[in-house]
Amino acid sequence: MPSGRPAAASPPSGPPPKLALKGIAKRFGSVAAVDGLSLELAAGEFVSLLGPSGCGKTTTLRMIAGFMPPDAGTVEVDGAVLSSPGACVPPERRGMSMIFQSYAVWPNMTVAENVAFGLKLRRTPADERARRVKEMLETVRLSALAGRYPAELSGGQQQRVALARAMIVQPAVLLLDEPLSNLDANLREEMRFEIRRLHEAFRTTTVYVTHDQAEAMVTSDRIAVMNGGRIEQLDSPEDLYSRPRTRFVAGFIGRTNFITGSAAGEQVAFPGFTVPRACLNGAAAGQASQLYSVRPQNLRLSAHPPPGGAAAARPGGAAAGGPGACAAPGRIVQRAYLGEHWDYLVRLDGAEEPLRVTALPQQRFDTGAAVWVEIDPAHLVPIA
Amino acid sequence: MALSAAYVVQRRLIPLARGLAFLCLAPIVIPGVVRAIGFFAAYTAPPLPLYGSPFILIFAFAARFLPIAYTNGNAALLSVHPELEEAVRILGGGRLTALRAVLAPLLKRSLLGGGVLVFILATHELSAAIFLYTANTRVMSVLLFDLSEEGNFERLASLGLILLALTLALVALGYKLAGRDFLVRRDASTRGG
Repeated sequence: MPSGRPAAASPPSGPPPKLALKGIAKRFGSVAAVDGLSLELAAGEFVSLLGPSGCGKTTTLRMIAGFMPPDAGTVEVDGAVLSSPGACVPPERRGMSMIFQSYAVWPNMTVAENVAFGLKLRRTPADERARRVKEMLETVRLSALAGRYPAELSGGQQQRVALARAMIVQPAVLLLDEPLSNLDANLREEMRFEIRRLHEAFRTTTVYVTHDQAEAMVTSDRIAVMNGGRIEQLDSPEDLYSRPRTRFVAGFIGRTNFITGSAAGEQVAFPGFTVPRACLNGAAAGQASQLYSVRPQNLRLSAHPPPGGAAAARPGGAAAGGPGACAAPGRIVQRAYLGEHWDYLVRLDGAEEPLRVTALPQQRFDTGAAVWVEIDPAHLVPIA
Repeated sequence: MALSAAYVVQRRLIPLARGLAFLCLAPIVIPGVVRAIGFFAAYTAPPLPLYGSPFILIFAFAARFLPIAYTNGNAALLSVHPELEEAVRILGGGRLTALRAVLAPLLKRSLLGGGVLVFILATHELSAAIFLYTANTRVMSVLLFDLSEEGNFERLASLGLILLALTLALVALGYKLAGRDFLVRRDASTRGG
């Protein structure tokens, strides 16, 4: 929850943030689409709003753009209030650019006319306009298509026209609303890198809305995971993945196992294995039980018990893993071969729920085979 | 007029927009004769004595064909994604710029189609005209009706032919002016990778 996370989320103090959302809220009927959301972007920063459909991310973006007034809170750029419940600067006077889900490339204008439109509205002299359009079309690799109409272009090309059109006016803030969701998988992957490349070229402060975690990971400096109109966690892609704070974030970003540890003296008992409390993160003394997340690729499978390994911990931390690493016996319940890796479901002896474990392609185990699962307590992440 | 109504309704620019939509569609449920007599009653007396002037016919025809034009305009607007307009606005253009630069060129063709349709129907309209015309404002349909009453079929046929030729010429001219349809590919084979 945002309220529980103060300093870490805000950029270093000094100049005011480029874009600041302060407790904005929006209700549709009885549903709170956005519920007291706060977010600050430093100049040149690329932040993604990531969440499932209906989490309020597009509503948030439309409030930033000025298409929708907030019911509460303010939207500020460079310290100036643009949106508040009473007064809203209209979108056309915000100096922002937006890229839409449908591309929204104007079908009645050629590629060059589309790109030039923003400059025309700004009354840029014709010769300068022509030069900048030419440069921009080169940047997005569309020079050869300048005279074409959008209906003659592929989806990826139309999206590049939309990017060029938005970037050429050098907006204060660039907003992207699920820009890649209408493209096929290969093109989407290519365009992710294209967007990041353009960001590195222009360093525009950017808010990117997506439900695709890979898109957010590739493009963003920081990701805000949204759920139910609020930000669950705001962190760099790496921290978000390796240190999810809530069950929702852990489950939404990548795949994971949830296991509950119960404190018993100096040990914490999990279904099927036990680790010393001293080696665990976030296992405060006196806390009875705590939920942990462990990623499938952080568990290791082996056919034999590691030397000296047992269901109990090895305080010295031998062989693989850090201090307190342990191994527990179990059986393969189910498996799937995905080419790049194996997906195993392993039920530890004494546990109800099977664990999901990712293994290298050469690690073959048959269904029903007895295996040992090595667990490093450092990869057990406490979840709120 | 119908298009602006449809635009206002679809973009929810004013409260009670749905009421306006109903108002635009209502005339179609009233029989032509009833509506004509209603017009006759309303506009022969002050404050707006329009009877005898061509305006009463124009008003009656506008009311009569508003539902058709409204439905046509509404359908045309639905084919234009609102994000096309929002894209204009975020780049610094107002609503009017969006209308002029994007909406108008895209809707031109279907609006003209609607206009032609309504025009053709209006040349044939008799039920309202028969009650509202005067000696000075006899429209084609009334003239044709009178000729058939008189049994003057030769003149009736020639006039009918002129009406037909005029309508066809206007339709042809309309399509020529409308230009190409931007929502359709000009040539599929020129499509880029």
